[in-house]
Amino acid sequence: MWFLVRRFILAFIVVYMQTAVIWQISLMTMTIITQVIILGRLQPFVLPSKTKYELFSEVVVMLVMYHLICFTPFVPDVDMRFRLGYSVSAIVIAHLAVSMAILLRITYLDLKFKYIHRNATKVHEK
Amino acid sequence: MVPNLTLINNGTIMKDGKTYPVLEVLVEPGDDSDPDKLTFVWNATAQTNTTLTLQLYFDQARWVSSNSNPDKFILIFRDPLMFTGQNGLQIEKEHYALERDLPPQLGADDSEAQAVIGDAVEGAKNAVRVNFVLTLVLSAGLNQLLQMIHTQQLVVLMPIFKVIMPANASLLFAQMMAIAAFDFFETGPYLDVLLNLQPSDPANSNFAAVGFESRFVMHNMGTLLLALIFYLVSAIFAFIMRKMCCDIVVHKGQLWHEQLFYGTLINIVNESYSIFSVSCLINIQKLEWSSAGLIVMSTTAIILLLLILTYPLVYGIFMVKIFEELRNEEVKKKHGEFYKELNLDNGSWVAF
Repeated sequence: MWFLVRRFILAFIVVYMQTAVIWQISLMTMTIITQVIILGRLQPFVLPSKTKYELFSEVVVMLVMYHLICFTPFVPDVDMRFRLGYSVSAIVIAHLAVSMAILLRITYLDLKFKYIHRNATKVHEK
Repeated sequence: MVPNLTLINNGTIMKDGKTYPVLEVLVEPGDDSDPDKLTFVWNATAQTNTTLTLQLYFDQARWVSSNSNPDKFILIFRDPLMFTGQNGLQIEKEHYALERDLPPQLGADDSEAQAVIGDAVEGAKNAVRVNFVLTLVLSAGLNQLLQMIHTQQLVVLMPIFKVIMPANASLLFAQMMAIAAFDFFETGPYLDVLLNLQPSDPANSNFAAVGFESRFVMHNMGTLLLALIFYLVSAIFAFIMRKMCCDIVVHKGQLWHEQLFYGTLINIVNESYSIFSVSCLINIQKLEWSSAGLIVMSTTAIILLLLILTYPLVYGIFMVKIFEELRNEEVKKKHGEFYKELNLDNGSWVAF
């Protein structure tokens, strides 16, 4: 349920708080901290690796959040903002690459398991 | 007869004793912008019966819309009758002068780095497509794919905050949106024709930058709209099948119902929740009822908002209600997709 509520909060703050960037950033930071507390305190997943991956994702979201603070008039230099733009791109692509590697590995293991299971069933039937 | 490009680029017209270009292109600096950094030349590069493509070349492109208030692009048709389409279609009077926010631009030095980023994201998109096909064809787990996407959905929505996103990051987020929102097919133009709608402007340039290019809920949902329609139609069919008298049909209907509401498909709906919410809230900001198409859009937005608000409540109450029975094999078989990775030993709070 928190998964959905968090997404609705994000949607609400991006659409209805367009005049108050400070509130957008503060509320978003609060949702990230709440998520980290839930992950650390409740340990909601069976697999520790899943919890670790979720924490890694939250770190990425928090880093993107910090970059957004630099995309306000807080950093007036345009060239610096472009350098930060490359920095945030690198973080997002790194997260994408890690996720993709995990995804492909799990799919590979899943298919391998199914292949072995099918062969074993055939041998057993013979 | 549409005018040729040379005439558009170089043609002039006399009005009140003064000479004007037939098409005037201006850039109005935002409140904090330096006009000296916004010098540019422009060129009409292509045209069809209904479109005209202009390219603007700024001397210092990185400075365009680099402050809180974006710079504005103004286009004035000084000789509007010259721009008459082959079928006699003319520019409407209220569109003789057009004004739009200019999005941030890439500098001349950025193109190489941008190409590398573009290639990386394109590679990721292809990997997602391959994985998606694999999961469908070989029945591998779709959950891993969805888990990867759910963080991306948070990340790609963050540039909509009222910040001045540099063009290099902005382009990356726009490309990522296609992955996060499963948006591989453009539905907007078909909806415009089907519902006889005038294309709508985005809520602001930040929304447009990440792909919410319209105010209409259905346009912003993109490919997810097709998925949602498929889901609803399937749910209706499953309901009808369950009410029939033939046992086989009832059984198939029951299986279909379970797959729709308690299977992997419900996870796709969950993962798309943020895109549904943003699309819906943008439309709710400005409900319009002046034509049939607009009524459809506004009604859809209201219904979707009700579903969006009630869904987490129903979901939460349902999970807490059945919490004690979640280890039961029968319940696991039926509702297992909801909680298969959750550690139930940590109490019913886990359901939240």
